[in-house]
Amino acid sequence: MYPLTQPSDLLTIASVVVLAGLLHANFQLAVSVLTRLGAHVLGRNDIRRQHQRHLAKAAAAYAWGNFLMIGLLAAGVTYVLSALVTVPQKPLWVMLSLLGGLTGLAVLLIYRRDGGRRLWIPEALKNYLYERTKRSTTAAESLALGMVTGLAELPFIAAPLLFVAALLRGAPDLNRLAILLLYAAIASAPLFLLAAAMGAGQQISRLERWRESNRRFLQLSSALGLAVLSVYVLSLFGAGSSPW
Amino acid sequence: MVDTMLVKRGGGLEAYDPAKLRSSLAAACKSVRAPEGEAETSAALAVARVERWLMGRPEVTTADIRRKAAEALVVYNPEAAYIYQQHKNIS
Repeated sequence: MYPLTQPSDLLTIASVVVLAGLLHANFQLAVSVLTRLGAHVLGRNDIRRQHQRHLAKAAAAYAWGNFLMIGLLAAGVTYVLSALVTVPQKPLWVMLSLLGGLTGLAVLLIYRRDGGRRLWIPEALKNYLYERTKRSTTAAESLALGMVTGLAELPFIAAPLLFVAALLRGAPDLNRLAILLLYAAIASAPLFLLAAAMGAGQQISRLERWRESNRRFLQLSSALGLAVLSVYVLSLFGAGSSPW
Repeated sequence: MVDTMLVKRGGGLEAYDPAKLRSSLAAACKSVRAPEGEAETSAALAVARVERWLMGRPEVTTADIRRKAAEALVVYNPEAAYIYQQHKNIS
C-alpha cells in the first residue's frame, strides 16, 4: 500500500498517472463517436444560430459524460483492488505489467491487419453506439452517450486504468481523489478540446481527416506507450525478491 | 419515377425512397456547415445522379446506393461526401 505522504511518492505516482492518462486519451473510440455526434447534431438542425448552441451543448455534455464514467470506473476498480484483491504488491504489478505489454502487442497486431479500422468491441455494441449517436438529441442523451462510450472503451483502456487503480490502492484520501481526477481529466482531455474546436466552428470533416491520416501513428504510439509504461511500472513496483 | 428495390443489410427489401436519400445527403451537407439552401440543392443534384444510375436496375443493395450517393455528392460538396461515407465508421 502507498501512504502517498511523501512528495517523491506523489511525483512518482503522478508520472505514471499522467502517462496512463495520455495512453487512455490516445485511444480513439470516444473521439470517433464525438465527431459522429457533432455531424448528426449539425445535420439535423436548420436554423444556423441554433447549430452552434446545440453542437456546443451536445459535445460538452458528451465530454463530461465520458469524464464522469472514467472517474467512476477508476474509483470502482481502485475500490475492488483495495478491498477485495489480496495479491501482494509485486506479483500484482508483474501481472499488470504483463497485461499492459500484451495489450500493447495486441494493439500492434490486431490493428495492423486492416489499417486500424477494426474495433475490439462487439458488433452489437458498435451498432448500439451508432444508433445512440444518431438519436441523441438532448444534452442528457449526449451525457449518457459519453458514459456508455467510456464503458465501451474498456477493452482498450483496461491496462492503463488498472495501473492507476493499483497505484491508488489504500485508504481513501484527498491525494488519491486528486490523482484520480487528474487521470480522468487527462484521459478525456481530447474530447474537451474537440468539443471546443467544434463549438468554435472547426469543420468536423477536417478533424476527421486529420484523425484518419494520423491513425497509424496514434496506434503505434499507443502500443509503444503501453509497452514503455508496463516496463516503467514493473521497474518501479514489481522488481526485487520480496513479494511486498 | 424509379422503381428500384433496395436490399438491406439484413436481407430485407425496401422500396427506394428519394426523399429519404435526399434528406440524408442534405444532413451530410449541413454537417459541414453548408447553408440550408445549398445543402438542399447539392442533395437534390446528387439524388438526380443516383437516379440516373438506378434506371434499369430493379434491385440494388443499400451499400451500393450509399457508395453511388457519395460519388455523386463529391461533385457538389467533397467535404460532405466524406462525412457521408464515414457516417457509420466508428473506430
